[in-house]
Amino acid sequence: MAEGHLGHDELLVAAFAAGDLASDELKPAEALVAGCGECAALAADLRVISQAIAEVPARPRPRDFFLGPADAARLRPQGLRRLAAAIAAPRAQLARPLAGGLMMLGFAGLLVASLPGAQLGASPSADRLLEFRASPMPGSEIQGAPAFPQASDAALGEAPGGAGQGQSSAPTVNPETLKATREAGRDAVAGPSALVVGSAALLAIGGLLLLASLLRPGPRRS
Amino acid sequence: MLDSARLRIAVRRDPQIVEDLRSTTVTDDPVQRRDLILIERARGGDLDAFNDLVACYQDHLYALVVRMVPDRDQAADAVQEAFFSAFRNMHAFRGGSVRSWLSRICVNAAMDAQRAKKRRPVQPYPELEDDNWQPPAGQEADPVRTALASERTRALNDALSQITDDQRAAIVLFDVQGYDYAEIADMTGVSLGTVKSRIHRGRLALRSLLEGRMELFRG
Repeated sequence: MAEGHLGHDELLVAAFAAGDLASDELKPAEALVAGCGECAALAADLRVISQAIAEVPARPRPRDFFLGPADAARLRPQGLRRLAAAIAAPRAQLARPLAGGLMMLGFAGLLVASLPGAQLGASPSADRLLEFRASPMPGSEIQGAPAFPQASDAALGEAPGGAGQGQSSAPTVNPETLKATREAGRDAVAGPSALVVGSAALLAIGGLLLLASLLRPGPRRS
Repeated sequence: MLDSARLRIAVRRDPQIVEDLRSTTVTDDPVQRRDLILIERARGGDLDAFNDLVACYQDHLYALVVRMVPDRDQAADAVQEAFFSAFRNMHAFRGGSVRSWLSRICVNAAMDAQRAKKRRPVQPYPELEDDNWQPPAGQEADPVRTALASERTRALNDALSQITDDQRAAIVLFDVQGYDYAEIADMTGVSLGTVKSRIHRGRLALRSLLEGRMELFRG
């Protein structure tokens, strides 16, 4: 090897030999190859090797690679992969945007539903039921039974003998207690509002759609 | 270095392939049109259509894989596995070149085979290996020329088997299969600069391995 060649950039020579250099790097590479016999020989050898590789004959394949019906039956997507195949097929290229939109709607719905005082979609019948339950039952004064056993328990906790013994006087329902009871009762009876249920459903459908489209196998990255 | 601006020219050796089924369904390329029709029929459950694709591309894909996986049986298994994978994932095909799509799957299968071979090395029967295989020569073939070609093939195969898997894959895809840098980057999941680096470093390694035998290739 020539003494002066040791420090030369062989990778630059390889890129030059392949014709990969941009104009700003071409001149230094040309100068290098023109001024160094080793670099010139290297560039020539690399071109020869590249050409020789292209000319190496391909071996004949030892067998056919056709698929039989049993292979096809075994390989056809099943279950979730089948769903993914159906949803993420090229004709359904809107799967991901659609999934994103549904999930956004779902999130927005849940956000609105979580705002304080938001009762959107709460069942009117549930409210009527609460009104009914919150009002004293006809004849309750006579029987001495509280309209709300839980509330009366709290309100009359100090009553001698405890509740349910029919010894208490007329029910004195504290307005604050009644309000708290109505809130608790509304939650217990009304349950999740239609908005929450709908938003959750949108979120779930969007998530499933997104999952299915993501499960679609793409080019593997190494 | 190879990611730098000075190597930013990519050599395109084939027409740009449009990776969009909507635009390729009306392609003027009859091969492309045939492939898209076959794959659509195969998606519809027509196994014969898929096997027509196998018939079209099995030679090309075996030639690709056998240069990456020197063991012929493992190469055949890798190609078979690639066709299984293509059948299983037909819905993943997004249009464009079916040949490139199948090649990409084959490159992955070949990489898997190489990794498996490293984990569980298999020693092929030496008497069954024929590293300097040449296509049958005609009557008029020059024996000296044939012997030279055979020796050249053996030397190159020896050298190719000693460079890294990544370098070999990139060189085979570029020099043998004729893919451009961008296509190889897409197939192997690395950057354009990495592809160039692998090709150039691989060639330098080959030249180093073939030093002393370069006379076989010159002239």
